[in-house]
Amino acid sequence: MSFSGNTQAILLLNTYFSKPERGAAKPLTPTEWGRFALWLKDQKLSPAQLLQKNFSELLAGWQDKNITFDRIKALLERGNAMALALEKWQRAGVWVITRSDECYPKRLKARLGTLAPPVFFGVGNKDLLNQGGLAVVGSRNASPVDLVFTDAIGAKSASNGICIVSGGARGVDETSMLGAVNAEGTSIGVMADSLLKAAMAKKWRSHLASNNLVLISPFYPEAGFNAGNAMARNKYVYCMADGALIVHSGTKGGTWNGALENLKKDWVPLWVKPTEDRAAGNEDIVNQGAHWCHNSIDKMVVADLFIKQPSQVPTLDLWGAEEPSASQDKGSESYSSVATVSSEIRGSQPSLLEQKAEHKEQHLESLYAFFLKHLQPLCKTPIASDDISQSLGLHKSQVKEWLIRAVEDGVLVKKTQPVRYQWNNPG
Amino acid sequence: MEYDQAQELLRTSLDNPEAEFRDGQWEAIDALVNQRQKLLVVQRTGWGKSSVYFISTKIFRDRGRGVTIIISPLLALMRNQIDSAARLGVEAVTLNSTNQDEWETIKNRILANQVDCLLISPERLANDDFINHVLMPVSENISLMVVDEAHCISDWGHDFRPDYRRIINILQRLPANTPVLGTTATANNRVVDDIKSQLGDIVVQRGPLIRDGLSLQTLELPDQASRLAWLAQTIPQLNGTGIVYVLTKRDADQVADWLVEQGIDAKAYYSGVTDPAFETSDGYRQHLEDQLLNNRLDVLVATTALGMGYDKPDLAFVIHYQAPGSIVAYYQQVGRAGRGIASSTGVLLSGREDRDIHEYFRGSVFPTEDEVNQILNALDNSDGLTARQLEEHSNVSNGQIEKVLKMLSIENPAPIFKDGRVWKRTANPFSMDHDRIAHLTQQRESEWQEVQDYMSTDVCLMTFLRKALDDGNRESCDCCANCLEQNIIATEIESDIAHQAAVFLRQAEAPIKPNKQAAKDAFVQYDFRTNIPLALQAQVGRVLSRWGDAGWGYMVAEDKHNGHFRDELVTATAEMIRERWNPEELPTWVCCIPSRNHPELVPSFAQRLADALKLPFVDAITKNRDNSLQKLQQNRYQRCRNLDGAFTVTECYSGPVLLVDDIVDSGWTSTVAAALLQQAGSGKVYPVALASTSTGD
Repeated sequence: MSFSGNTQAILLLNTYFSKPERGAAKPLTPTEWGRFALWLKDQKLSPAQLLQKNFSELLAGWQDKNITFDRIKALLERGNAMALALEKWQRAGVWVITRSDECYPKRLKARLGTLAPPVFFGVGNKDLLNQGGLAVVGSRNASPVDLVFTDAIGAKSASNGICIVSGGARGVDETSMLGAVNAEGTSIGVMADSLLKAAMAKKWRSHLASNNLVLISPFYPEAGFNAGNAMARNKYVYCMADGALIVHSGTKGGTWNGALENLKKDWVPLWVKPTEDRAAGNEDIVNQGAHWCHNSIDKMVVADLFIKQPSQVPTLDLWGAEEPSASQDKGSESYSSVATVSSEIRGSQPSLLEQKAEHKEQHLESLYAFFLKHLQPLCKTPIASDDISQSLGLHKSQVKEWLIRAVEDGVLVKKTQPVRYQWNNPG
Repeated sequence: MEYDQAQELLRTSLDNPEAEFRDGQWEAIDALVNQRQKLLVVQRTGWGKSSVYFISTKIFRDRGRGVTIIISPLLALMRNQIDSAARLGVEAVTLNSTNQDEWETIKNRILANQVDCLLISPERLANDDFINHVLMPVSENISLMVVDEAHCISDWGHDFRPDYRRIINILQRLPANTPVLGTTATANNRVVDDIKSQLGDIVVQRGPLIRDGLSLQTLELPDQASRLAWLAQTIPQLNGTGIVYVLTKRDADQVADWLVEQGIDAKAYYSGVTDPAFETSDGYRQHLEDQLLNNRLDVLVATTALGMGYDKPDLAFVIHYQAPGSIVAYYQQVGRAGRGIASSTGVLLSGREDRDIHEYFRGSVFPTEDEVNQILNALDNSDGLTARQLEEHSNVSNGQIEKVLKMLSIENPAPIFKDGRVWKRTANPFSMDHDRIAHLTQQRESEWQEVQDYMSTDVCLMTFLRKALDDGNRESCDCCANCLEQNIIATEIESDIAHQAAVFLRQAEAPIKPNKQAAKDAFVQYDFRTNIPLALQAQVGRVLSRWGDAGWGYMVAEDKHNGHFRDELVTATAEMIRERWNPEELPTWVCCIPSRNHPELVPSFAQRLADALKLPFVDAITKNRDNSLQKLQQNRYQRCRNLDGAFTVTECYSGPVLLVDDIVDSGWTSTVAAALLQQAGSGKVYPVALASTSTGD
């Protein structure tokens, strides 16, 4: 209930206690704290010592353009504000952990180093924080089909004893988490805002009480929504998990940026659900190095999503087609033609024989299918044949061949005056 | 900050160039502003605590820090303090229920750094709206928190208050570099130790609690009539003005009425006391405090609501009409007398009802487990409910709902949390702490025993009090009834006044206030909307007695049990109606509330009452169904719901009518019957009843 001097000092230096007032001292950013904490460590000082009467002497050797002595002093003098805020937050069941606490997520420290947040606020079962699990992310406004899939992923993870890590927002986040906890599984939610409200929301309450859920936030529990915070939160979702699955992403925004950041930093294996939505960024994310996951929940082995795959850039896959390994095979199976994807979504399960036939055909036609996949985003709006060959770096005549075939297949619509091609969106 | 500079500030504040710090004042200031310590100051009232916190405030402000927050339970004290702060050039303001329209301005002034000191009540600090919208925005700069009457934070204190539990939860979270000041005049060692153990690293500064010139006496007078008579004959003999302490609001009204009847200028004072000339109860209370302060009243008849910190140096006497629950509470109350005058008097009367009242108080401190569970279940099944909505979702009275909400919400972590206007269930588990409840109840029992010991002791009464407060000084006072071995005030009662008091008590009549606002959606069949139209409302009625009370109340209870109200009650009621009530329009006929369980009881009484008043009795109302007992309905929604469709008017006349019932509780039965009668075409409806069991809830 009451905190150690170290925790108190870290809170004073790093968190807001209410909506910031104009002219008030700004808490340190994670980067600034990293710098200051390192200096404290060098000086063999503990944060708690900053609460002593002689703290100005202790700081005599500290010099920093942004983290001035006055700023530190003003932050440390917020004791009354901290007491008022903590009393309120703790009443709602909110607790505080700092990096030195046993339950602080170790994966975060390992992956982010000094940039791992100095403080997390949380409600629910702290012991879940070091469980790892599957990160499930996606848009707030996902389609009903995607949400059904998401819910099923949550339930399947639950039955496999795998924790779901997500962002607690509307849509995919919330659905994956509820899918898990409603199936008696466990879940971690990393909130970008309003932890205090979430602590009392009916949808989370019983799961928090039954220890199957933990909600944490690096931002103060009454923080309102803020795009920057939401973006910053994504990295914690990835870094607390062992693998990540993107249900649906736009071509910009939180999910998109988070996915690319994960690819760039290479935190956890990244999987993407095939989608029918042509406006989605799912495919682009795969093109940048993620893998397609099974479109069928039944076939998916959740634990396999934690296994690091060879980077799946398109060229590699082309070679893989000749010499398929077990894992690549898995990839290419759902990495199928547009037609296969849509048939699967419609739920018509092909027989084993048909699947095999299709599989063969797929290999024969893989270059054409591959072409189509790249063509799709280009042809959202009508585009000329020359522009296509330029964009994809293909010979004009080859492009022409395939375009004719695509129009015949009904995949493309040919427009005249001037001649352009557009993806065919039936119905 | 050095001693000399601080002394300069003191001299300015007291407007006295020679002024010196009292023992301990400078040490306290130094501990706060230089050592940044957490400090508990135990000093008698009048020692000068306010100099400590105002001078400290001044010093912090000169260093560029923000507002000091002073948490104090007394409104009058706040105004006195604001004046004395002004002398020091300290700008102090208060936020309370009487100046709600100024909150925004005050908040902006605090934000603009124009306020040095903010005085608030503990209730205010427990109010989430206030915390979120006023305090939090300025909280980063708060220089010091001061908790007045700090003994209230201890379970061991005689006066533990739930709102102080919130305060201790805040203080426990203060870091080591943040000073805090607690002050009290009444804390024994056990309370001080408890506060220390709860707050950890806190320094205690303790001074002597000497009180010279206060003459104490005790007097056992079992019946109320004797005590009323004693008050009426004693108060005029005492020079100066004083306080009579009573245990309940009803006693405050009754005693004040009696004293006024006896020509003494008395007023009742309690929380929620109202006066038509004042918009709010707090406003009226401030007015009463001022009246007494300026000797414009002979006596204020007060409950403990006239509590801590009321500082009137020339208060001549403090008389307890009933014994308080603990000796520390007694010391605190009687200790208000004569601080600034040579001699004063403190008499503790004790009556036979005291024990029952304290037993009731002890039993009603905590809500029952069933009530707690009803509220938790209702909240569990929702995403937030207001206190009003909880009435619909439980059969718990409004007052008990508030009690449950308060008890649960001060826990930390708490099972419920107020989010804006609604209460929400949190994920935190809750179970009643039966051990703690048993411990507190036992604590109260042993405190009550100590009061009885005081009543019967033959040692010096002042020494007895000091000992209870762990004050080291054990010299006898040489001025109490025990030291002098004779009464300070005569104990014989003149038989004439005693007789008048007995008559006064018999006429414990009270108005029956009509209900005007029905619970939403409760009257589906009758279709009464929230506001009952004026034309259907009952008139203000009259009730003869309090159920079970001395006077008629006892007889009513006995007769109800035996199934027949005796003629003496008929005569008394008729007398009340004819001689003292005089309704605006005289009723021309009489009817009554029917009952299926006791079909004869009330009609027989109403018939005989009609005969005595020479009016026709009409069996006008029928009961349609066996609804459950109205007295089992605990809140407005359930009471209204239970009556929906219960009665039909079968016969009706156009003149004003007397509506008779035996017992009135919430008044909803007569409200509904009155509406139905007037819908059927009757004239005005005047309810009358034999006894009231209403608790004012």
